Formats: sequence, C-alpha cells, structure tokens
Amino acid sequence: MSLSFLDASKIVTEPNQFDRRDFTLAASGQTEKLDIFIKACSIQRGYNCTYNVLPFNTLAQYIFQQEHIHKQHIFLLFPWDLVPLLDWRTGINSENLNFDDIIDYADKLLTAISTYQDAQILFITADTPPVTRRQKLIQRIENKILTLLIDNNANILPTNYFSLSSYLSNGCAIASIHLYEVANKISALITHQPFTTKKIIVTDFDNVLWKGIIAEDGLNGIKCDAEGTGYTHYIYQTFLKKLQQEGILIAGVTRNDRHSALSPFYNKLTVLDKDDFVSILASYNAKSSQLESISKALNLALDSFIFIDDNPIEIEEVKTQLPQVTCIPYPHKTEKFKGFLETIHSYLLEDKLTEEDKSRTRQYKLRKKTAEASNKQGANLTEYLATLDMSIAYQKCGNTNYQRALQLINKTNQFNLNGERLTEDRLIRLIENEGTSLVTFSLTDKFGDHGQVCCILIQNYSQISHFVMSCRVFQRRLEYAAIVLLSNLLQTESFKLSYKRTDKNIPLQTFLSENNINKDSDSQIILNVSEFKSKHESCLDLFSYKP
Amino acid sequence: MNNTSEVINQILVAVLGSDIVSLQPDEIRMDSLDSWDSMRHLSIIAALENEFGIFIEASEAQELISYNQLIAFINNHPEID
Repeated sequence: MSLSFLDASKIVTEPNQFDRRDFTLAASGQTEKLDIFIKACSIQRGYNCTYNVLPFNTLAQYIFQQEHIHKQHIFLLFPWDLVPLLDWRTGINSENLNFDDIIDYADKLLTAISTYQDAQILFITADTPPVTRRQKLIQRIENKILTLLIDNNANILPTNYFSLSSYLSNGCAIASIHLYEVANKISALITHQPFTTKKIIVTDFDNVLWKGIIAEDGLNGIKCDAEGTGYTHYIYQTFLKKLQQEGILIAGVTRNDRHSALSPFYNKLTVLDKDDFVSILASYNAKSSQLESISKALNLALDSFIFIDDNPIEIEEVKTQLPQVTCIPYPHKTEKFKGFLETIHSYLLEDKLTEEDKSRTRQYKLRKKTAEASNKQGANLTEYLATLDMSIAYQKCGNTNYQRALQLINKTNQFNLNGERLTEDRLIRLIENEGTSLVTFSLTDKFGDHGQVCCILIQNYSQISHFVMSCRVFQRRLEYAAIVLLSNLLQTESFKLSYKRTDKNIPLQTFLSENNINKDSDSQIILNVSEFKSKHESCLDLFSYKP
Repeated sequence: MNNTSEVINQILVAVLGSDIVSLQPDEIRMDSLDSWDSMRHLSIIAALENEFGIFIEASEAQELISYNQLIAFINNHPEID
C-alpha cells in the first residue's frame, strides 16, 4: 500500500506502544523529506524508529573514519557518492576521468562500508551530468560501479526515484512522489524484513493491454501493435510476458463480457496468450471483489498483489477496499511510461531464476480452485466521487447538431438500452416528429472535459427508445442524473423504456436491476421518476448542473 | 470547502501544528507565524509535491509563503487534474 504525506502524518500522530529501533541514515544529501515516511512505514511494521543523519556532504568522511561501526546503518547512496566527479552540485568538473582511479575509490568506499557490523546499502540509479564526451568510458564506469554495488549486496532503486530539480534546489535528490517507496525500503531494511515482494500482477484490459475498448471498438478498433497508438500497449504486453516467464503470475480483471474480453487473444491480436494468465475474470462488478476471488482461488495473500488500471475510479475503489494491494495507475502519457515499468519492477526484486519460477503459472493453474467472478459489492465511492467536481450540461438536439448522439447510438454496446441502431435519415425524421426529443449530456470533472457522453431519445413524449452512455464515464453515476434532468426538462414523472437484452448490454441490465426494474423480458418497462429520485438523491448531489 | 483547500489545510496543520486551525486564511503566512520557518517551508513544499504529484520549482516555492498563495498555485496548476 502506498502512503501519501497525509496518510503518513495520520499514522505518525496516532499513539502506539511499539518498541523503539535506532539506526543511522547515512547519506550525503538532505533526507528531511523522508522523515515522516520512514516513521510511518516503521510503525506499519510494528516499531518506532529513531535515527540520526549526517551533516550535509560529510558522508565520505564519515565512512572512511569508520565512525560508529557497531551501530545499524542504512547507507543511501547516489552515483556521485561513489564517483564524486559525477556530482551535479559541483558542476562539470574539468578533471579528466581516469577509470582505474575512479573504480579504486568506489571500491575503497564500499569496502569501508562492508566493515560496518550491520550495514545495508540503498543505491538510487540517478542520472549523472555529461562530464565527458567519451561515452564508452562513462558506460564502463557505470557498469563497473553497478557490479561493485551488486557484489556488496546493494539494493538498487530505479532512476525515476531521482529528481535533479529537487537535488539542485534543496539538496534532496529523491523525487517527492517517490518518498514513500524509498522510506518503505529503508524501514524494511532496518528490521531485515524482506520487501513485500509481489507475486502476481492483476491487469485491466481496455486501454491497458490494448488501446481502445474491445466491446465498443471491436477487434478492428483496438490497437496493440508495435506501431502507432498501440505501441506502449505492445511494450507493456511484452513486459508482462517476460515477467510471466520469470515466475510472476499474471491475471486479468476486466469490465467486459467474457467473450469480448477473450476475443483479442483468440484472434491472435496480442503478444500475451490467454494461457499466460493464471486467471481472467470478466465482470461488471467491483474489481476489488474480483481480486479477492483470485486471492482465494490461488491462496495468495492480497499484499502480494499489484493491480494495474487506467481508470482512477477503479484504482481508488481497490485502494479503498483492499489497502494491502499495491495499485499502480497505467499512465496516459508516454513520457511516464518508463517510470511506470520501473515502478512495477521495483516491487519484483529477484536475482535468481529457477526452473520452478519458469513454470509457476502452470503450477498455480494446476492447483488453483477456479476463480469465479464475484458480485460482491465494492467500496462505496460516494466520498471519492464527490471530490471529482463533476458537472453536467445537457442540450436538446435538432437536425443540425445530432451527429454525436448518432455516433453514441450506433457505437455504444454496453450501456445501451436495446442495441438498436439508427440511420442518419431515420434519426432526422424522428427528431422532426412532435413529441420526440433527442437529449445529449456532457460531463466535465477534474480529469477534464469528457464531451457528450450520454444520449437519450424520447418518442411520444415519454417513451425512451434509445438510452446510451459511453463506457468512459461508467461508475460516475451520470446515468442517474441524466434521468432526473430529463424528467425536469420534459416535465414528465414516468418513462417507458424500450428495453431489449443483448449479449453486451450487461451494464444497462445492472442499472435496471439496481432499480428493481424487471428486465427478464424484453418489453416496455416503466420507470417512475419520483421513486427513482428518492432512491438516488445522494447521487444527484455529486454533480453541478449547467443549463 | 473544496478538495484542494482541504488537502492544503491538512498539510499545513501536519507541518505547522494545529494552532493554525483557529487562524483566518489571511493570517496564515510565513512572515507572521514563528512555526513557519525555512525547514518547515521545505516540508510544506515537499508535501504538496507528494500529495498532488507535481514538482515545484525553487523559484515558485519561494513565492508560496501564504495559505492564499498555496491555494491559488494549486488551483491554477496545469498538471493537476
């Protein structure tokens, strides 16, 4: 579970009776920002920690003077601690690089550290300044330094934990967004508790394994090739494939019908095979309950899980309901992709690969009970949804601005009242009828303007012949607000819904079930608006309304 | 109170202490509070970066010396959703 600053503050201020552990955090730079996180992570491990730090830029002197070698130490190192010429803060040194001298110094420093009775090394692989144009020399130095560190059992942390800006402005080289990860590793090393190494990655499918939504875009619309918009998804799949071959279990949890979810695999569109997954659960119910189902079937503790999803609402739901699961959002920006992959790696530390590792997926499949999609309720997200600053605007469409509505009606499969499509001509004729209203709903929230995402076509004043909503805005409860706004707009107290069950409109079926509307037969069904309003009043408060 | 001001309030209380709860927003300033020294200012900036997932340049950080300035900065930040 990741902690933010405020999470850590809460933990630290709560009283406890834990024992105290004392150590020295030896670093050359500023470590003040880590303090609250180190204390919180230690409390989570069942102890309080006190530690002293070194004055700024005195690390080498401290190490070579062999001070306090009987005390427990955590050495937090950066490249310039081993190769001083590589320190950003001293500028580009005019001294020539001598490989042997550099390595000799680094070796001596690490040898001095090894004489400490209880010392652990954390090394952050920070970017270094371009001190020479001799690229091969730099690469030799970096490779040799890394080898020395590994030989000294150093724990290597990824480059994205380093912040040059922070290092230059206040002497702390750790990026603020990664303070928890560094503190967590420090706290684990103090007690020699192993890192909570993760064993299974549970991944979403739509817009994660592939670009696009399989149930909406179809096989021809999703992208996960080594080209264009699918490229990062292709790389992500190859990343998971390699991890799976190295013994990490991969599972899939997706809001889809099973046929749609598996169709890309059956049609050989993906790098991953269906058999690479130890479990795939396709369900429209809460993802936290699907993770629990997998946990039980595989007999794996939830703190060994990593969950990856592109939807912040899914991430929040799992974080709220299952705080022991590590949730990592799939990045929307390519620039963040490398850091995303490195973050996953940082939870999967393993330096040996055994034959058992290679066949782990097969072993788990043989002995697991079948994980079944769960319909257990997930976290109540009302509180989280209230922070999204959601705003709805609606407009009644005429024969000049119906295009988006037509697209929604003809493209949407999942939240779709009956799956019936309309031609452009037919829609225009319908709009011109008296008693017909075509209303679209637009949503903005703190993540941006989602555009027109919901559309309702009403005929004969109160008969809803088409009710569709983009899956991009699922779980925001927009569908409830849309019905209420519509009734206010049309001054009607009930609607007849022309419902028809399809293979893919499960989310719409769920909506009807939640409102105790009998959907067992395809028919006209009645929705009483005042009953509906009284049941979903709290949802309406989640939105502000624009005329 | 929206979410941004709530988070900033909590950060300031965590770093500066609960005494500031009784103050008006205009009174929460670095030049008027003994508890808001340069070390705590670094802690406030680091906490904002951590909570909102952003980086604050040193030149920006030195201007964020009051509650109102912190609110305005976060509300207008292009990378915060």
